[in-house]
Amino acid sequence: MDVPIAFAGLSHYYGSGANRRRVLDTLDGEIRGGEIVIVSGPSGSGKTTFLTLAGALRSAQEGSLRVLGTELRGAGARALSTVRRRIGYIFQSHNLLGALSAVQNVEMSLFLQPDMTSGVARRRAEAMLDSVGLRDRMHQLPETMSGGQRQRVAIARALAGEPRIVLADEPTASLDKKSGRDVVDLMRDLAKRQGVTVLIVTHDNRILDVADRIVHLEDGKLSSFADSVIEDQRHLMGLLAESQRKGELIERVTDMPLKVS
Amino acid sequence: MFRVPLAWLQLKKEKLRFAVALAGVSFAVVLILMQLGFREAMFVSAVRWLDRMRCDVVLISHDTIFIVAPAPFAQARLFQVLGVPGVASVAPIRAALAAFENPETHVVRRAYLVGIRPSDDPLSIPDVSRQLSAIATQDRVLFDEKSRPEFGPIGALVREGGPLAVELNGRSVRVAGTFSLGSSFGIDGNSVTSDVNFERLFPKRTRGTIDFGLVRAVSGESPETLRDRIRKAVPNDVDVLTKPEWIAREQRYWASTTPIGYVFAFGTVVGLFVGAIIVYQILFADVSDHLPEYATLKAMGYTDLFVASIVVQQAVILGVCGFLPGALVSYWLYGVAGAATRLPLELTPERVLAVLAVTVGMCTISALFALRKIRSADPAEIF
Repeated sequence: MDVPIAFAGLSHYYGSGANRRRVLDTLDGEIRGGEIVIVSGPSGSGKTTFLTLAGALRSAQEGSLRVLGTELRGAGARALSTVRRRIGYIFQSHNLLGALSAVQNVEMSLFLQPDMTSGVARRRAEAMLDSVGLRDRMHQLPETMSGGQRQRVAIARALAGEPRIVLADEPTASLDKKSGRDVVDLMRDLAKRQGVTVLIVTHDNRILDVADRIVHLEDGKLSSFADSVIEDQRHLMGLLAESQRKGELIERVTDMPLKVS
Repeated sequence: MFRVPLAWLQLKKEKLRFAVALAGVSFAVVLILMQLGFREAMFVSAVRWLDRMRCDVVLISHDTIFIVAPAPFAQARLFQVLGVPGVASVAPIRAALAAFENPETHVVRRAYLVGIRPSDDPLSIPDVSRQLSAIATQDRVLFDEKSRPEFGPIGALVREGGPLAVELNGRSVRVAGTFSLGSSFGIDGNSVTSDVNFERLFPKRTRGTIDFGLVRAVSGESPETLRDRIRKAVPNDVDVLTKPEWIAREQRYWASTTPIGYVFAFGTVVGLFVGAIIVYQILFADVSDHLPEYATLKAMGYTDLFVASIVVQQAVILGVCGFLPGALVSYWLYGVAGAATRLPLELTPERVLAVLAVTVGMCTISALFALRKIRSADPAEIF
């Protein structure tokens, strides 16, 4: 079984000199083909940095990172750009091209492929939009669509080029509960059908169930999801107990008869 | 890679901004075309007389700076040249500004009076050649119908009432007929008479002096060789030039010695700058707005070159689309300004193409400046 993303001793730093700050700390692991992996963790945990590295959006600084067989440590712009053509991206804010219709947006990712003809691109873009349920909105501009519809166009765009990997950054962040659910279900169905590896970064607990595997990132370190859940739960239960106790105290105080002389 | 016309669609989407950009480019185009038109008109009009003087080589005083105010020299210098091998004939020309009184308003203006020997027929102006016998008569002149209107409707008056009595340099003369030449930046009106009448009109002028000495070569003689031979034969107080050299010298005077040439060159550059700055501003705003989109394109795997080409395409579209209305407005203004100034304003295809090229070039350079902003479209920053 091939391994689309493999990393060993992967560290990453921002800033330089005294301001140099480590955001990823010697991560080891791999993401296997066809797997849907969610990277959870609080904001500032380094999960977006991890996503930009795995997505070949920046070159790795330390350790090893192989994406689709290419070593990205110290990779140049050209190598990164080549790897990126085989990756689909779904962004927090859809990032569709505002001047293009839904179908043209999807075509933009198809025209990256060599020997793509206009006819083929149009047919595939239409089929893709059909499969995300936007058959009737193909020629609309993004600004005339709802948030959920835009995110579905973005999914169609990410998957149209039949990428090996799809990366999604907080795909439900700007959506309500129902649209968010629909969008991730759609992502999972299409990904499973195409056998594509999906890496989702999120702190939306409602969508964790779409994952085959959840990894937890905190302070730049990977930890077991189970441990983090137990730790979280213990913390939450403690808070609950404390607020319950406070609640009782308040009740008792309010129930006290008023004796004003 | 260009099958989705992204550059065009992005421009079209921001309709107001697109319109402002087009207006800016059009404005620059009008400015440039008008300046160039006037500049060219200046050159053409400045040498109208020179063009029409039949000669291969010319003698002019070393002190003559430009033809409007020539310095006279002894006629003998010209006749001396007759002995030089290769000279077929010579023709003395007298020229000076003379005070011409408008017969209707009596306002006095200075017209350029050219005195010729009728027997030489030295001017290739058919209406003058036809009326040589008229100016051979005492105190008869011909007047340029295309002189500025301030001289009065001379053409119409002559056609209606025959020879027209006017005051020229304080002397009563008659306009026997008209010809057609046109004004220039230095000359408002033109008049032609015989050498004898000319000397009567300038009594204080030294007799036997001329302003231009026209020399015609025998057929087969090269003007350059003849010029060199004549130079050896006459003293240094007279400049000897071929006709093209004479024309070039006159134009150079207007282009660089007078402020007028500079003003037009400056106006052209200002037009370019105005256009370039407007296009830069528009493209910069457009790039800034689309930065996240461009970063997305880069994230998808499009190259920097592709993204840069979108902006350059937009610049070219702005250049071409802004040029067309600008050129149309200029065409109209050439007509209006040509009628008002009587200058030979002509929108030549060469100039149109040159300005189109300059406009597109200007837009592209602006795009290259606006592109510096694109480097900050970092695909790693959009997550």
